[in-house]
Amino acid sequence: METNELNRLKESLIEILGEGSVETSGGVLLEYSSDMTENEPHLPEIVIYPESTEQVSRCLALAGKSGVPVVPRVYNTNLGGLAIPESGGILMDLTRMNRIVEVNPRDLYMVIEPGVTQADVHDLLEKEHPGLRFGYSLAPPDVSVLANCIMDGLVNLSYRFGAMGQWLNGLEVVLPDGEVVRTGSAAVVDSWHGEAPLPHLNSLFINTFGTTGVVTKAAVQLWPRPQFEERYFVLCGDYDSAFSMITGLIDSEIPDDIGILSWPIGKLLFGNKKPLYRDPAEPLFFVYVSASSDRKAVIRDKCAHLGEIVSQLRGKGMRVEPPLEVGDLVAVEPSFASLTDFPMRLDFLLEHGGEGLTWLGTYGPVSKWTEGVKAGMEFLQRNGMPPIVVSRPMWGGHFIVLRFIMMFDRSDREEAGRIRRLNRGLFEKVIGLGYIPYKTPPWAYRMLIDKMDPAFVKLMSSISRSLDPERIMNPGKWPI
Amino acid sequence: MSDELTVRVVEEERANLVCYFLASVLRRNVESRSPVQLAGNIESGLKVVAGGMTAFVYGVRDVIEVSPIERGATAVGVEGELGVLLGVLLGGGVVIPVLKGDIKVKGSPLRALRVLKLFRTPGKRKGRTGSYK
Repeated sequence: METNELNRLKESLIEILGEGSVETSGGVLLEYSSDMTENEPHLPEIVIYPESTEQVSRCLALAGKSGVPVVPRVYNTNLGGLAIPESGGILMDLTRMNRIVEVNPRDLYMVIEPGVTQADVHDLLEKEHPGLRFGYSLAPPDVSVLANCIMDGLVNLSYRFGAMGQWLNGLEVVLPDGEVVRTGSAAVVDSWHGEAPLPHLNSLFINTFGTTGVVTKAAVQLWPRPQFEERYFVLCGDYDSAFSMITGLIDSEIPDDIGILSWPIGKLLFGNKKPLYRDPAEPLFFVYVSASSDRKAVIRDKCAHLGEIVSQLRGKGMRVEPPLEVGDLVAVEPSFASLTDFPMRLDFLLEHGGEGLTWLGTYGPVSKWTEGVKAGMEFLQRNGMPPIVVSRPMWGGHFIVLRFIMMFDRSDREEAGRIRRLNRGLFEKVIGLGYIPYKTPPWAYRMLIDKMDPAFVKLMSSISRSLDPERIMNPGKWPI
Repeated sequence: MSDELTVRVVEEERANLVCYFLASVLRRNVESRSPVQLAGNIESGLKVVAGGMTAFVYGVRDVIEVSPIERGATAVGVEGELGVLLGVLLGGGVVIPVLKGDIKVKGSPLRALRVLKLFRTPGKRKGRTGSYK
């Protein structure tokens, strides 16, 4: 942007937002140029901090008229470079929009703004609505709940209730021309109770990474909280044992949650910064299982059933250890609470000195899990990286998440380049097995497009063009 | 032995979960029990095999070392499933698992019982771990 043009834009934005909500100083721009990942940084030209839907609307209308790119961002904790302002322009920081607008305990939803964090939701429910529960992602407490929902992320209840896009009853969205629109029941009546029987237009704003509008409110489902919960780890010694354990659990209807963690995570918790060696007798996976009920007898039955599944597998010679109660494991080694207290504290992933964290996160078929996880773990190990994998069956086992996580030194450009190549290598390893990246980094989207049905690309392209004809919204993030 | 005692995992690049579990409990026990008593009992060396993973524990002057690799003779050896070991670490009884054969002992059983008691988690919590078979 030319200096004069930038100054004019800045003045107009100050008129809308006020002096303290528009920033152009070098230090601030630098802060907004990158994230934890290996993706190349880019500076925005202006950072703004709207506090209301009306302000977002006026800013987008202004940007649209001027043809200036707008990148919406909350806490910048995605691992895909999705809020890096590739084309400069305006960086719209939504963290000041942080109200929990409504909690409706009877209709089981809450309405939240983008800046509401996992900790905010957790604390409010604990304090004021102990009969309700919500799911929390594999992320620290101070990340945006709304962003995880519209990027179709997952939480610790996604095995039962699906990816977070499914939890949305409706959205308030500011379209790229500044118009404010609601989807779901709130488009018709004064209630956010659901999307059916209306057309499911939430989808226009899910997995589109801010390229179709800025979501300023989301109605997210809450669930009754059962009185009793039991949690276990089952340690599995090889791929086949782990797969049998996972599918045994899916078929049993025991769990609320199944989480599969590969062996390096246990060692990271003990402070080993780069675990590369696995004792052959060591478990390959920690399978986390939680079960709940309002009736103690049901919980007891579920736990007994879990024990039976394990016994059956052991009877078949599978390398499965008897279930370890999570509380017991935490009593022996308190750092295991990092994995089981929600929202999680992820110090062991975030505080490794190099500050770099990246992943390839994918959704794919359960039937190909063994091949997918094996291919990815062996690939990482061959390339000198700890084979860190976090996996979770979703939506009753209709699909499964496979996430390969890498920690690296962000200040080392050579290492960042190597990590880029490894992420692309992982993509190639798992895409053929049906594992499609979610929270999709732009580089992965570009690789994905080549594999997409051209008619599907054409449809997505026409949706994108009709909503954002000036192509100002988060350029490069939905590269169709 | 002095009153200042540290616990460390050696040969860490090859350390397994059992090494880490034992070291973690010992570290906390160093704070809550007499270091002299702790180290004195381990001085002659202990071999633990749990769930197929092996760890060796040696008291060496002011340091208790937990190693995945044998670094000297061990007077006592114990072997069992990981869940059974964790049951002991959690403060569960030692005598019954030994008598039932869930924990197999090499060397003096009395000495083994005394040594195993050193690995009980402070503020013990007796859960159900190890009870599902």
